[in-house]
Amino acid sequence: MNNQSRRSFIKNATLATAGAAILPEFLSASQMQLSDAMKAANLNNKVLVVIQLSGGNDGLNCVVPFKNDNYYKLRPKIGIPKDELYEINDEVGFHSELKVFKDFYDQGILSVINGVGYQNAEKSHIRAMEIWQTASGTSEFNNRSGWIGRYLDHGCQPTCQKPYMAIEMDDALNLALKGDKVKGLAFIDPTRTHNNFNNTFFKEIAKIRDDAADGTPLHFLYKTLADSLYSVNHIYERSKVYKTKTPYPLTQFGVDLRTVAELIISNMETKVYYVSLPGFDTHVDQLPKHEKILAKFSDGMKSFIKDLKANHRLEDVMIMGFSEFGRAAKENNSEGTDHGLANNVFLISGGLKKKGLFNPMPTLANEQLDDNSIRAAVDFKTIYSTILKHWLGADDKHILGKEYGYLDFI
Amino acid sequence: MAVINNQRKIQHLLLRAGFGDTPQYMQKNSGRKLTEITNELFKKSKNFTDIKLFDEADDMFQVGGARTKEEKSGIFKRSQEKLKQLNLAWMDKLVSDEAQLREKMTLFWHGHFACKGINAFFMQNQLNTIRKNSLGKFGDLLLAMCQDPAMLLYLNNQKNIKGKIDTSFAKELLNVFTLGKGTHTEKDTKEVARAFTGWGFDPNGVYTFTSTLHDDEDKLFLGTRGKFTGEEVINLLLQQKQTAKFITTKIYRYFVNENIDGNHIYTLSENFYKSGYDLNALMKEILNSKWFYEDKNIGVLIKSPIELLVNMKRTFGISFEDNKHMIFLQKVLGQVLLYPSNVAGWSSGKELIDSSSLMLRLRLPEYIFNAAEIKLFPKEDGDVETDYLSEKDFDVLRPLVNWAEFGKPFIGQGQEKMLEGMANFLLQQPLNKKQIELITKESDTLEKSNPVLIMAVKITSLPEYQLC
Repeated sequence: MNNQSRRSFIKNATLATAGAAILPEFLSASQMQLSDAMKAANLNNKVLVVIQLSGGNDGLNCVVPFKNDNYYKLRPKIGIPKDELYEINDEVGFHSELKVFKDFYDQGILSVINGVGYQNAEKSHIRAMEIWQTASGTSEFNNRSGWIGRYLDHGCQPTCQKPYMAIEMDDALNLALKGDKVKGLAFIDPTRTHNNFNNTFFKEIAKIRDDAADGTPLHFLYKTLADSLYSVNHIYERSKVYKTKTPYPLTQFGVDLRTVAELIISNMETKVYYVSLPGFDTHVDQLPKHEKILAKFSDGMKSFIKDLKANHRLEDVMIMGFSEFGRAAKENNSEGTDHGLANNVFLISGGLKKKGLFNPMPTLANEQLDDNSIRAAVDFKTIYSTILKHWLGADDKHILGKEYGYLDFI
Repeated sequence: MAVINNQRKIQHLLLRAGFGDTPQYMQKNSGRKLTEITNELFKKSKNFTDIKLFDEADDMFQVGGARTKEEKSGIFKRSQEKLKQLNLAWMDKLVSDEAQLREKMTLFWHGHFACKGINAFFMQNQLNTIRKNSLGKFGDLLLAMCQDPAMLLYLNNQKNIKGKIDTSFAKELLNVFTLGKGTHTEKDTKEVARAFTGWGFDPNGVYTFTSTLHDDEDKLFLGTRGKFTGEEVINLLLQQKQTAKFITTKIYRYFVNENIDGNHIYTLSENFYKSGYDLNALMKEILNSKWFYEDKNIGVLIKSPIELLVNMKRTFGISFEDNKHMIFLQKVLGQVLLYPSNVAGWSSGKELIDSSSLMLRLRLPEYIFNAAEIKLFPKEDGDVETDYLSEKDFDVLRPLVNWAEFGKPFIGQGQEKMLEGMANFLLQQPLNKKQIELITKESDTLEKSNPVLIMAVKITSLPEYQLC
């Protein structure tokens, strides 16, 4: 059977379209528009890019404590030897596929927060992801709204009323971007979405149902339709403003990041972009699988950062990379790792106040492990609160429902 | 107009208490008395059949079962395949079973007692248990669910033992199954967990009680003291009027309106309580009430993805060349049978609608009826165990629809009548004048090789079609 996934499918599709973006006359026109857009830029153009590493990235094999004997004792088969790492100091090195992260580290645009998690952590993918996306407690079940959606609801009014203020690169919207009142917009290709949605029939019907009573489900559906048509059209127009010259890898992740970069550089009003990279669930034969997925991750990030830098936007962009959980510190019997607890979170930005290793690496001493997994030292919600308050200028307490305090990376 | 009103009410009944019906059925029955149709609905749901695909649990779940890497991954693949089969078998049953009300209740309870698991045999049995009890006494259903192997496994009750309790099961029992949140203390939850220590199951999927693991000391629950067993806790829960109110409210929101009417809830739950939690009686009271057919309750619920798909399959008689397209559609629309999002069940109502999901729903008729190329892919959740749900090996759906059969009741009296008839049949919210003009115009400009199909696609592409 010839099964496809979105990830494998894209290769053929993009090879065909990649060249079209580099028409010379198009570029000169877009550059003119761009300089206008640049002039309009102000302090309010801070943007958050969330990168969701789905499946549970093994952070311990990304940022490796090569001086720590516990590490090699816990991982006799899959522990990475020192000489295969990119050392950043006397004790810690990055995975060989994360060379670009070493560059980010050297440039002072990377901060690694260790041991991020929460109390009574969940080990089921869906449940743990739900907790991260909604910022709710382990015993709360929230099918309704996520932390970015609530930011749209409360954080950035009155400008956040439109779906395009938070964009996810996917065919379906995840819970994180759903608010009670406002929901973000998911799409992969602005042109395709535009062509799909913007047909005359939908445009016409959106206009002529003018007799639905306010507050009824019918009214809600028509309002959503009208907002969607407006947003899709707006993004489509903006997506034509700037086409990047920076080459990106032809993976879905690379293409997603290219679209995000183009929208950011076009000075799109969007405050939050959300990109996912699945494939981190490495229970069996982890080493080659992890290597492959990390290569995809860093290849994409390399182009993305280069592009933002070249266009002087890295100072305005905060990138947060996370997974729903880390993996167990101890390897399993299948040369892989099972679901764990706390994990590291990557922050990349030209606007970081505290760079490098934000806090100490986990010691991996037995008494500090819980069921062979790393215990949480930092609540992920304090990262959210810091970004909401100090990056996006929003009311974090209202959005998160509680005061979590702030970290000093911004 | 009188006939239309009656038809709309019958459709309302069949969409809410089932998954709608065919145009032929409506042509034949639209003039009949509502009470007759209601009685028939209950009568048809008296009897029911189980789904019997698997006779025993896979040996993975037996003591000393597979342990090597290869064996494990082989068993996972087999189990996934079986879960797909079970999903599709139930999907077919929802579409074509005579006992529509019972199937609808089964779907409701599957969301209420939300549960998932890799053991397809256990899941099959759980579904059959739900179906069997779905219109009986709620207490019987509740006890059966508390002793159900798939549920005990999902809620980790095997690890809930005397002296070392695990409250996962107790939490769901109180928060989700009976009383609802904010009605009890954390201490209550712990005491309830103690009462259910020793409740487990054997590898063949049979409930077991292990007295040596059971805590038979005194417990204090909701102000009452006793040595309570699990059964006694269930009885205590049923004695609480709050349980009757909680269940009634949930059923009301699902079958009547998301906005509840306090007076209706009060009367319904009092009667439900007095009847000893008779679900059949509760559903009869709702579906025979006058208020159920009031205008404000018609066409105001957003169809869940399963309701949307089953309703479409049933009314249009759609069959897919490859049945697995149904898994794909469930996944992209965001509701897969046997895979509730979490213990709180699936999202509902407005939660289901955002720009992308609405867009997909409005495009669905083009995908299903016009073989429009499907360029979208299901979301991957990153879990290697559920990756298979995101697989896609096709670009177009190739369903079979008997358009001549579907169109019969509507054709022969001109385009205007055809549109009126079809819209009245497919939509519970009447169209306004401008919409009628637009659809007439759009259908006119297109080639007329299959006018029934063209018009059906237009009508089902309207946001109104998302409502029932």
